[in-house]
Amino acid sequence: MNCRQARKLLTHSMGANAQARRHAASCGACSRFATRLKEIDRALVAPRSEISPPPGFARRVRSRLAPTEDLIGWAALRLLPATLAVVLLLSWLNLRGESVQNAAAENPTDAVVSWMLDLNVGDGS
Amino acid sequence: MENETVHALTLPMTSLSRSLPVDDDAILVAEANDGDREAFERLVERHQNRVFRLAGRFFRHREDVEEAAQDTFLTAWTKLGTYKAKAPFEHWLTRVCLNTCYMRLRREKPQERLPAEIGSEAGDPNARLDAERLLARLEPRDRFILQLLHGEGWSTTEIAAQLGWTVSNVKVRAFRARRRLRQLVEAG
Repeated sequence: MNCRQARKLLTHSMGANAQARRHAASCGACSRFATRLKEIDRALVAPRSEISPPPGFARRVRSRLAPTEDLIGWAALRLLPATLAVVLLLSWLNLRGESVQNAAAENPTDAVVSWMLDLNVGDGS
Repeated sequence: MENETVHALTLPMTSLSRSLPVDDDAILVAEANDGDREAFERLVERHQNRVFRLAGRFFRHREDVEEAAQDTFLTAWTKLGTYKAKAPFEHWLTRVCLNTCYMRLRREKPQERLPAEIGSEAGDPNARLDAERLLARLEPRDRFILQLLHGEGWSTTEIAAQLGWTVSNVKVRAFRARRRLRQLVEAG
């Protein structure tokens, strides 16, 4: 077994693999490698911090819970600008449609034009 | 039996859970799902030690542990409707906690918080400090997976089940984490 293979096995087992340890026993560099890995393993097993919940933690969490009923209200409130924009757009489109229709209605037809022209001619004579 | 009934009746009964056995998470979850904050507060009380212990695996500073624990419970509250009661509530909460810790760790940069000193742990303090510094140089996601494999002693299958990842995904992450660790140790 060479150093590379031994270190792979040592890393996988966090320094516990027997075959790799036998190699490390006869290799100074791998021995130091195995020692450091063992220490890292100890650091991983030990909790990084042993912290108990402070008094009143549960109550504090409770005070920060999102109000479920109000969530719907918030959602509605957040949708309000979009809803208003849609309503305004529809109103504008509706008004525009009406004005186009009115304009079309106000356009004199050929018959009216000819009648007006005849009338004008008649008035002039 | 009679005593139990009397005991249940003499308790202040603000909700259904007051008259039921205290170890019944399912009742508290059902009540919390209906918007009962008091029931949820009781769930927090029942599981806060476990959540703090788990969060304490990944963070050194008190404020980080507290924030991770708080985020875990706030997420649990908003996602409580997704808990299907197929597994015990604490398994589901563990998953929420692990995901919360993972997300927080991902936001951290390596070496962001190097340990200044090591407390009263047994062993050579210098060697331990050296180990902690090496771990701090790992990417948070690598440290996270090594912590679960070696700190918690979970198998890749257990990690996959807890986090909702695939087993092959866990194996790939574990392989990469170990390779980076080896490189760091070799580099000294």
